[in-house]
Amino acid sequence: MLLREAEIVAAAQAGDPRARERIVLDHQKMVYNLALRLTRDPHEAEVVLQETFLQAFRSLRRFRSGSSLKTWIYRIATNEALQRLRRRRSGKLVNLDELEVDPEQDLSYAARALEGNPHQLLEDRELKRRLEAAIGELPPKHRAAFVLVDIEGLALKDAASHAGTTLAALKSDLHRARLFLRDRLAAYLEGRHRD
Amino acid sequence: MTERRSKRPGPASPRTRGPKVDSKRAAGPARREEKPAQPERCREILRRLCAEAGKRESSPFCREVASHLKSCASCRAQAATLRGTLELYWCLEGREVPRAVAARLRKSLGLPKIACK
Repeated sequence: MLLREAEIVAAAQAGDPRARERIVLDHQKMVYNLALRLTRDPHEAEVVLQETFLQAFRSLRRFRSGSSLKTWIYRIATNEALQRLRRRRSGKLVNLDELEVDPEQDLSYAARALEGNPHQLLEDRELKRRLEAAIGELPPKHRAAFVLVDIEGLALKDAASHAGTTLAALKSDLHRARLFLRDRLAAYLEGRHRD
Repeated sequence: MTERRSKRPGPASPRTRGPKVDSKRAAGPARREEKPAQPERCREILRRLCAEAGKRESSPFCREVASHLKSCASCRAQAATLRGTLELYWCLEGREVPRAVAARLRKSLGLPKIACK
């Protein structure tokens, strides 16, 4: 932990509102985006944001110096978002349990279209919208695997621990999530090419 | 991982003829060297590729599949599109916390209002 961060945490533990404000300002964007990606619902994301910091400040005295404040807050936020995600029911989710690779699928056009600079490709607003919408179609366990590993960059083992599942199950969920998102993207690219 | 598909070669059928290769689209002279299709081998490779696409290129897994990818246009397209999809997601930028959301957060935490300049 950096000295500056240690000082901020110590001051926040002593009840200094400016130190607490600093902690919120430094981490709110990370928490909000993680919550938004996992819940796909701005209202839920706001609840997760509030619950995360309320919980963090309630248990700040138990925070051990030497740990990373960011990692600690991140874990609280992930747990809160995943709890909400599991509780929520949605009728629009796809069933990915049977999704498998089809080696005969013709992906040659999509492969060429994706050779370009990703930032340039993302200038297509519809493409961007569809990428974000596709995550929302993933069932909770697949979404958690994809967001934690591929977006947030957690190691597979850590993601499995966060998601409360086994490493093997997480790998399987991740595999199907990637396949589904790729298929959604390829279908859009093919359709755009035909139009 | 499901075990719905046998790894043994099955009877000849449209599903076992191997990956489709679009002759007009496939690029370069390397195509002439491509080996006969092995659909079950492709499926196994791709299952693992999907599950472990985040691994570094120097890993034993990546070395193992590299030779297969050289000889299989369909798997190359699968790998390229999976990687391309992940790259797009990596490039999606996070959103700023909306002002109203940030204001409600501060209120819920009992933090003082930020004075506008």
